[in-house]
Amino acid sequence: MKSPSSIREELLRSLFRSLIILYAIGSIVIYLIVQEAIERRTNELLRSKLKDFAEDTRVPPDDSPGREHEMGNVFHDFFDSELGQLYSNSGTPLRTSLALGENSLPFRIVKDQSIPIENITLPNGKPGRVGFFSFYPKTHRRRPPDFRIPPLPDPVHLSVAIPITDERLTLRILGLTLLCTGLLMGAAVYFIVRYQVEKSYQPVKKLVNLTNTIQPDQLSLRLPCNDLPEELSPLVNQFNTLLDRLETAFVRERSFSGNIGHEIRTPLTELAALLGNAIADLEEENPEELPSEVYRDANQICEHMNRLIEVISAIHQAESGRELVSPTAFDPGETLSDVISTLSSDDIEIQITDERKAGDKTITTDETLFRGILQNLVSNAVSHSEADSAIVCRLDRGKGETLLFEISNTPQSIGPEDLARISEPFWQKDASRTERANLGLGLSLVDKYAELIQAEIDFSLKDKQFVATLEAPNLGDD
Amino acid sequence: MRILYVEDSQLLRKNVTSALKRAGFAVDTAADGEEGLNLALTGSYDVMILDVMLPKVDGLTILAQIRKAEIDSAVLMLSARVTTADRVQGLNLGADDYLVKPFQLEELIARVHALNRRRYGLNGNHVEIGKLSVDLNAQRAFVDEVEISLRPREFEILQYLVCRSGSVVSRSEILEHVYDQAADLKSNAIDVAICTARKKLSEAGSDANIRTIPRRGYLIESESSPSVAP
Repeated sequence: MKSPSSIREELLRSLFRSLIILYAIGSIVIYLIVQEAIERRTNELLRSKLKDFAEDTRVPPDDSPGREHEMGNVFHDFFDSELGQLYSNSGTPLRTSLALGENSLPFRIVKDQSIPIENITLPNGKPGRVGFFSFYPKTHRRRPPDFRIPPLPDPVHLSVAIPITDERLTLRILGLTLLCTGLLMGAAVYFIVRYQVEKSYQPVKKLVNLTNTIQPDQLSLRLPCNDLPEELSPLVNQFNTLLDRLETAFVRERSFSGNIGHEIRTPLTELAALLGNAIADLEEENPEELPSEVYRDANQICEHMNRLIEVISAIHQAESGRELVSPTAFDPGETLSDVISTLSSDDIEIQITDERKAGDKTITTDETLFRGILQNLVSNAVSHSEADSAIVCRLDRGKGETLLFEISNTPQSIGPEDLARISEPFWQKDASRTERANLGLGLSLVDKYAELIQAEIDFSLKDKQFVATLEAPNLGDD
Repeated sequence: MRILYVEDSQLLRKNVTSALKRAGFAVDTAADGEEGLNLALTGSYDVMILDVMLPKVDGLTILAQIRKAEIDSAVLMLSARVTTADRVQGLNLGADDYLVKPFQLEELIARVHALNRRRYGLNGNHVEIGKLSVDLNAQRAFVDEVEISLRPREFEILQYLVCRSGSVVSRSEILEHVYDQAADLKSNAIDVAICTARKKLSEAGSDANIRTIPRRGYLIESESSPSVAP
């Protein structure tokens, strides 16, 4: 199917074509109706003449001399002004009207009472129509004295013609009028249709112009939904919904980039200040080498930046689905013990409660991602717990074959109002990022990893305890 | 010149403070917003350098508080936030300058010098009183293009007096603007430093003299055009 180059042009062309076709059909119908009406009228006139002439035809008495020649003498005078001819049954002309002169009309014997009509060319070369009628003429015979029924005279045959020049002219004028009107109407229709199409197209044009004004930095703009044709409303609504999603994505992306920039800028400043000072010291005091403290600090800054980049990359990979999930069967209790052993703290005690049944210890999921989740949850709990408080980890079976992992701690300063933002990248209760160990990305990473292994993660506050609950399903071996 | 620097990053605080001190500024530091706000409200600082994101009280709140208390110290905001909106917000709250991280120490020091100049109505980094010429950036003083050998403290006092030339500067003002909190100050330290500086100026042939105005303080002026009657 050929795609239209312009909907407007296509619409214009279709409408124009349809209207012209309709007009042509209408014109033909009108022409035929008029033609039919004229023909019928002409035929009626011809029939009427034939009947009138037949009515007035008298047969002279049988014994009258020259009987054959006198037939039709009784015609009124007007007969002579018509084109008519009376034939005997044998086809011999009995009488010819004066208007016909030396010319003849066709002869037909009509057996019933019908009046056949034919088109002919009149003697003067113009078109005409001839009608035929066969009848028994009235007789002037006297009644026989024996009262016998007199025998029927022979039938006679009348041919009467009329010119149809006027009718033809009328039809020609009608045809010409319809054609001229058609041309004029075509031009008028073209402009009217064009105007109407342009008018109907205005909302689309307006939307296109509005859409063109939306720049990448103006994603908050929306197309107006009021006073729109019903055909465009769903399209505009969909477009606005798309813009909503696009804007949200842009804002999120911009915020994420801004946060990355922010997180990188501080250590960069630290590094620049550290090296700037070290160089100034070298220039002033001229020692042979930089003090080890400078190397240690520089190394610490680099490690921090490296960790930041690693976590950001991990989140980005998880978000874009590039983190491959390869399920294996393992005991999450052992993974938890491993994780805790690497994050032990003297100030904070970590307890593990395992409520799973013996023999039902394994789960099939991605162990690396699962370990990452545990590592971040436990590390987060250790970092943000009050001193000398305890962290409780609980392992259980959830609904179906799911594994339930719950970790609760006493947070330093998390309130109910913070729960909604807690897994937002870079969000920290203390926005100053004074603690170099915290990046504000741990729970965000947990969120992404949980999504990848189809687990549900929930953060809540219960009796001043911050509780993170993970419900991970078995992913199967494939 | 005395500076308050509020920064939560210990490493940055240490290195920037060191650079500022090297540039001849007396620097007090605070590691969080609460401590910074206390110092800002109680101390007398020529310039305050405030990080925006601080624990306890953020830099913008400190700025709003000190402007509310009608403290006219010049304020330089430091932030890793780069958007125009962030900068406009800081400047609208009364900051005199806004520096985005990462920055070079030279730029920070240059901006602090600029803020100082603006504060004391100076047109450039060189201030001249008679034959005496003081280069505020290079931390050097000259008489007839010959450098005078001054100890750091002597130069800092001379610098402050030069910046305030034409005005009598009290001992307490010198104390507040030249010495930081950590300075081990003896009771006659200012008098001794001024006496030494005066002597060095005189030996170098300077016509600028540090006069003692009884019960009021000190005044530096050119002998050829004294500005304040004793």
